[in-house]
Amino acid sequence: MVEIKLDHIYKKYAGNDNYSVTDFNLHIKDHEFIVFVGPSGCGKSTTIRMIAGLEDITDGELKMDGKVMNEIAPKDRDIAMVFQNYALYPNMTVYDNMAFSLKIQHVNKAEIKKRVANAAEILGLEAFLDRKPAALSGGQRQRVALGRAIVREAKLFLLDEPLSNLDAKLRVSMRAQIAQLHQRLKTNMIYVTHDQVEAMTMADRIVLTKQGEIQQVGTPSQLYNQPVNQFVAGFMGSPSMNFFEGELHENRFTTLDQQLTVTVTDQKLQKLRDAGYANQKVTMGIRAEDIHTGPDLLEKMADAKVQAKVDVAELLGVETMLYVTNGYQEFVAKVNAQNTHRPDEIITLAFDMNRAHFFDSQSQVTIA
Amino acid sequence: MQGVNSTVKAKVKYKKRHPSFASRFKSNLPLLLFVIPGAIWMIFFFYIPIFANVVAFQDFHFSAGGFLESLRTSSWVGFKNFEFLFSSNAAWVITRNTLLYNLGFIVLNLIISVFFAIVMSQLRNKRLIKVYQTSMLLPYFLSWVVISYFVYAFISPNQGLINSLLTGSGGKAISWYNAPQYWPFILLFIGTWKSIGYNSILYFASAMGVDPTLYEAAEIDGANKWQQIKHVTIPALVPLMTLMTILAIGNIFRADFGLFYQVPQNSGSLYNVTSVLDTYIFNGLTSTGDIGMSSAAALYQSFVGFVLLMISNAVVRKIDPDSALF
Repeated sequence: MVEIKLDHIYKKYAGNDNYSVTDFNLHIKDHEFIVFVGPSGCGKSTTIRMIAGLEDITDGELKMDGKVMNEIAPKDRDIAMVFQNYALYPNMTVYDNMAFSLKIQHVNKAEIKKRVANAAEILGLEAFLDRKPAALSGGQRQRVALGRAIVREAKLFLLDEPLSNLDAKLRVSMRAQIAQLHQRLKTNMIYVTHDQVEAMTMADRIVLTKQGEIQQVGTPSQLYNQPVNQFVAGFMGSPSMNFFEGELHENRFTTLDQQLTVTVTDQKLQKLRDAGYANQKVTMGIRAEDIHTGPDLLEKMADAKVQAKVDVAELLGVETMLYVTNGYQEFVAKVNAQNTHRPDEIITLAFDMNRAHFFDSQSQVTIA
Repeated sequence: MQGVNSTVKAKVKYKKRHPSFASRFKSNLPLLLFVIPGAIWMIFFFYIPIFANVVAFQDFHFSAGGFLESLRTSSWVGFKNFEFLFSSNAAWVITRNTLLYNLGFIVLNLIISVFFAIVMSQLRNKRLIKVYQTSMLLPYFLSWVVISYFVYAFISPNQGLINSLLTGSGGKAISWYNAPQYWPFILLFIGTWKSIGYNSILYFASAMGVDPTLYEAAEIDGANKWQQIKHVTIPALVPLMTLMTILAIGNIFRADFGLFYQVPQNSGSLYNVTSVLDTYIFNGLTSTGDIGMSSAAALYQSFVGFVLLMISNAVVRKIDPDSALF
């Protein structure tokens, strides 16, 4: 299909002192499903719009199959784009919406009919071809927007927050449909979202950005398990990773208020010492699911036990989300729902220190 | 416990309260006070004069006792005034002129206003858009008397700009105010020029309301600028175009008095092409003083206008019920 290279891409809007995208470097391989994720204003939509040709590139080069595309018009980039608000032509039927690009390219009628029928079949839109967008539900409109992209048989699909206007349930089913579509079409897809769950579930590789700069590029598992900094660690995963400011003393990590002390594993301790953090301030991060209350795990992790008061206990079915306080520190634990806990109860929790992360308190870069 | 509850419920009767006229009047008093000046104006200048339409059926002559006394003493002539109006050539000429000029204005206004609105919507320089809008809107605020002098400056037989140019280049001067063949074009041009700014602002506002991602989607779909206008902008303007046209059709019997009276300077030799219902009524009243005849013409205009308004409203209600007047 197509190989895309973003080479030192910068974007600065007129009248704005700061760059919206800074030194963006990315090599997208054939058939890849790339997800740009990050908080609002991180430059992810700007980047996808630069790839589409809807925004000028201030500096750097965008290459597709080795050819510089900076000055090429959107229609000549062989791309298809799905917009957040669907951008369906309100005066056209579903069929005409899907057929529009082909009609403009003077594709013959039989071919148009075949391609639209094929896309409608993939997306289950056969019954709606004569309807106008106003007579469709949000999910159906989004499918039409996808259909419009499919019929073009473009090399590259760009999807700019395509599911954010849908309700939670529909989002989950559309997520699966888009993933299936990628399997079926085997095209490159670049998908923009602010929802890390979408990124985790759909991406071959995730590009996490913040304030116009790439923080980390990697597989969902890499970003989740080996975050390069505290921002990535905090952004990926729900609930967010718990962070504790503290100091290392010998083999123990103690929070600044001295209320929480846990033993660091030898392997992590070695890395911390090698990096010069012995007896230094560091930030420890641990995910909610790596904090346990089960009696057997408490016994197993005896040197990482913590006392805390339960503020809120949210039953989610199989698991319970415990919002607890230790001294001044609030954190969340995702525990087995069989272990029942009530608000104001003082409980003992155990940290799985093999799964703990350590970050530099100043630069927030991952140490171990 | 449940039994007690149901007993209590059964005993309590909820009285549906309909506020009395007095209490509604009192609570709406501030709003009603706001309405009073407008209502008085409407009653005196619109509703009471309706009754004076009876003069259309009279051989009306003023008598010393005032208007009511004149009404009483004037003789009834039935439809004679109308007969006279329709048996003369005037009825045909004024009806033809009124209808054709207004049809011309509807078509020209629609096409040119939409054209300028689209041109402005494509401009990126916001300051320039404001300059264009203001300069296009300026004629709308000028009085027809002022405009008639502008026109005179151009087509005055002796010192007019166009005649000077014609004679300067060896041509023959045209006596514009005695040459009816040019006036349909002059009137259409001036009328359109005056109203174009106002109409194009309406269409421009509508064009600016188009979702910009539609243009982006069309751009990616391979549409060029013209195709974007054809498939995105114009379809978005169609509802407003329909509404404006239907409303204009409702007013097709109402000519712009200033344009047809002031601009041709009420030149008698142009009457055949400049006389419309409004000027005919006015001229009839001022020259012959025949109030009965003039009222008959005015009633004819109002009646046809009313019928057209009802028809166009019915059409609007069918197309877009929310846009209907009633």
